[in-house]
Amino acid sequence: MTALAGRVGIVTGGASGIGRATAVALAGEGAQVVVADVVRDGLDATVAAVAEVAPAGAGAYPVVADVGAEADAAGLAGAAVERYGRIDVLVAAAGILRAPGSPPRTLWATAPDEWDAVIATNLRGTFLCDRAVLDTMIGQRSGSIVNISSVSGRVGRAYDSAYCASKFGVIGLSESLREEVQQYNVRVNVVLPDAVATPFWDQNGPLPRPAAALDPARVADLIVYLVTLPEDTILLDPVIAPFRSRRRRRAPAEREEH
Amino acid sequence: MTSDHALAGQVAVVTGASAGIGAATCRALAAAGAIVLAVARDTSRLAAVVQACSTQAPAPEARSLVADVRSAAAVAAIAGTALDAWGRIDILVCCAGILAAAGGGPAPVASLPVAHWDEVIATNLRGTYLANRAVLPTMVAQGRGQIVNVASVAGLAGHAYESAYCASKAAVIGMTEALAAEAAPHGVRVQALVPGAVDTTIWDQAGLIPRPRHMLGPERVAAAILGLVRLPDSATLGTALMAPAGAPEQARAR
Repeated sequence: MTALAGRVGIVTGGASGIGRATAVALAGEGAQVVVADVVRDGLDATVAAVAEVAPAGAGAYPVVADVGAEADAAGLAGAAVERYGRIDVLVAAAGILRAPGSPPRTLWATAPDEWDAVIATNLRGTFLCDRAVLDTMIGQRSGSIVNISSVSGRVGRAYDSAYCASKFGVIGLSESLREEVQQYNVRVNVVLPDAVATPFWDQNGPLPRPAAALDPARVADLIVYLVTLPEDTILLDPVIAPFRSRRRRRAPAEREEH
Repeated sequence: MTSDHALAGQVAVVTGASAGIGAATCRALAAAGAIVLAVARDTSRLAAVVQACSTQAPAPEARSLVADVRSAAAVAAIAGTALDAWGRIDILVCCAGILAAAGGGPAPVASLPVAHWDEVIATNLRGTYLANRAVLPTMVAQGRGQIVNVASVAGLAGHAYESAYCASKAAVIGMTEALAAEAAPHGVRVQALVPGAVDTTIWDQAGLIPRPRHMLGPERVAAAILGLVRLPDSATLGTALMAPAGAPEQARAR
């Protein structure tokens, strides 16, 4: 499996969940992958997981970075170029459901700093990382960006106002950027996962976990598919959801617990 | 115009009140008999809006509050000002928005200065969140109230060189949908209006991008906002799209 041999990818949110699964999948196809996260421990585990599947010439290189910080995002792109000379793929998977330690809250109980933390990572972080790789991709006249939105980027849900706002915003940003860079042969994808089985749900406090959740490897498979499509083709804004899920949408009765 | 039964005496807060959709909404609310608190940054333009409100037929009270929606402290003062003056808040209309940062203009993502991105998000998205948040405890305690957030068709379909604006308006729709679900059990209705191109001074920020040929007058948008607020309690339009007739490209919803 070497569809991405000689290619260089960057994956944010690489210490867990979709990010880690994507780093493993890209490297499994032969790519060199720069994996970024704010958590060093998880990154090391991702590097180890990549080492188990990567063919010769592929691997993972960890960078500790906060995607919401401009210097960190720029440093991430710089590290990829310095180490591997190019950037073919960016997967912006870094995302949080809520500010660290915050329980699910109504909008009127959400403090501005809790709002800001979610917007900073999910929306500003996507902007900053996209922006950081564009000089290189435009110069190459090739590249694929995959921004991870969510089904919450299409339908707002109670107690997730900042998250929903951020994920709607990622779609708006991606559509703008897609139109700007298509002339440079740079492709901008958005993926909208439904529930995925990741540590992400730990941020949901007492709320019940989704009845069905995707293995993050399934989202990673889709991302590999998107970035290996022929250059003249794009799959627009795919929604990926667990099949045979007993219910896609939470029933109203379930919400009355809060 | 005669006083409007549904809106007479209602206390309405309007952000972005000094121009465009916000100013037109203040005038329309006043003409319908509502008490208006007009919120914006520019003192002299606000004074002109308050003056215009006072010349509408029923001439209800109108006041201004100078506040920058990017400031959490300034926005928090909105609720206190309205409560001190009138004891309740019935309506919030969030119109404050910019197309590009001051001194900025249309720019590709790759060269858009980060500070310009931040300014657009801070005004359009964070400002709307802060204003919604400021009035909600009052509305929830009242067991009634309504909010209309003004988004844009740019929030339904992104356009080149306006990434921050498109991101902010898409995010306003997401936030509005989440809040609508949260607030409905408390008797508070939250809706988003999604206008196509509107003929306002926001286009001064569009640089070399040509103005659309078909644009809505701001008074048309204000009328739609009043239509949303006047809906019977048992109904909501959720996210309502409004575009100039004869310009289907303005309304290319997904």
